[in-house]
Amino acid sequence: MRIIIILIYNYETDLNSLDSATLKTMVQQNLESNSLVSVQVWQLNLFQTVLDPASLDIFWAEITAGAYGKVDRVEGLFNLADGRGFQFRFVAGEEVIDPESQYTEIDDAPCLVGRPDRPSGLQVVGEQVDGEGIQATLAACSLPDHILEYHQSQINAQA
Amino acid sequence: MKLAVISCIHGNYEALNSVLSDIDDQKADKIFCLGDLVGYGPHPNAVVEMIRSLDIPTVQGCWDEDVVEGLNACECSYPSLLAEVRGKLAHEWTDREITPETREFLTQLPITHRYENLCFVHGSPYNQHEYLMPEVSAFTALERVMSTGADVLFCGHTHIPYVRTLASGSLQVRVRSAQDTTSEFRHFEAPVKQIINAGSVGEPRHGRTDATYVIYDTESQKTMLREVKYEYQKTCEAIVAKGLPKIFAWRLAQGLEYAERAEDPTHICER
Repeated sequence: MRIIIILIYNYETDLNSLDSATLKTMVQQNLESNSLVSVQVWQLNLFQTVLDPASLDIFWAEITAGAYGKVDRVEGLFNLADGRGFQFRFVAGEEVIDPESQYTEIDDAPCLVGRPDRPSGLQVVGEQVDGEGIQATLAACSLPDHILEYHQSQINAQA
Repeated sequence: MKLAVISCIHGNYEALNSVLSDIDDQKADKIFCLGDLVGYGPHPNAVVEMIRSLDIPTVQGCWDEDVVEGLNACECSYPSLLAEVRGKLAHEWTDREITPETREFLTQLPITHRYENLCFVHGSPYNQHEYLMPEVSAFTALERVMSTGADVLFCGHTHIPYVRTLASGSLQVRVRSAQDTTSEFRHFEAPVKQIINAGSVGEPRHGRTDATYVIYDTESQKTMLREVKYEYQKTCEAIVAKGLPKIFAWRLAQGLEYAERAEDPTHICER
């Protein structure tokens, strides 16, 4: 797990033209005016993790509504029990008319034996992101081997 | 006579307190409780003590039963893996938290309670776990009320308050003998029946944080759905302070249930 803290401040002046005192003053002013923003990029590798779709629905609704911190952007590549992979994307402020528009199926052959090898993970850009909470929830959404094997045997039997 | 019917308190003492104050304001003559006193919320013992001290007739809810009998997580009880994990965490916490007196009180609760032409249950007359959703088929709804012999069936469990009137009900049954091929039709006419869902005091599912319950007037047969504001922030703080999952506090503050309802509204647990 990697946690990167990025500090961003707003400015209009060319940085090269500033001396250190001016820069210090400007940062101080920004701090006082609260325009200095702490943005966190939080990532989680979910390689070979397979998620229960109903649980993923709940998690996605929670994270995009701010249950794990204020989020500006969330992107995920998730493997589901039926072998398919999906890309999820959320950007704060974008109007969501149809919740299904937040995800698209990955154009890839479904994995119906064992665990998929395609990339899978989650990236969150936001503030005060509760990484531990996200990890715990996704762990609870993850299918153990015996349930995954059961799902795959059902699908393969119908094929 | 004015009756107040409350349900699904789920260890939310703050909500219960505010609802009881509102019931006082409404000048209700009698209070009935449809169970689920415990589960998810941080104050199971205080809730049970309050209900017991006020001598409120109460039926056993599914959470009350699970705490007494032990959790039986049949897969169909949980609509998702996540709900199952969270439900088990809440169950284990509640099981550790409750006192022997609380457990004893929950043990002796009946499944149904009758009062004149009214029947009180948690889920359905058959099972504390069955959901009588507002959209359940008219046949099922009517059959559930008629099975009690009452005219009005009060239920909870779904956390969504509603009133459903079943007018001009008729049931036709075909009876075929095992000995011959002849069959006989029997026809039953049913007078107007009602199902009244009391919503939830401690875990509302209507998208707002307010507690819900109902007032029923036995003379006018009118039902009033009540929505009561309470200091849900205190409950949220207690959830975190007592070591329950933080996500429960967040969901309660959003007006969301701690876990979700089962998708099959006619599901009956087979255990």
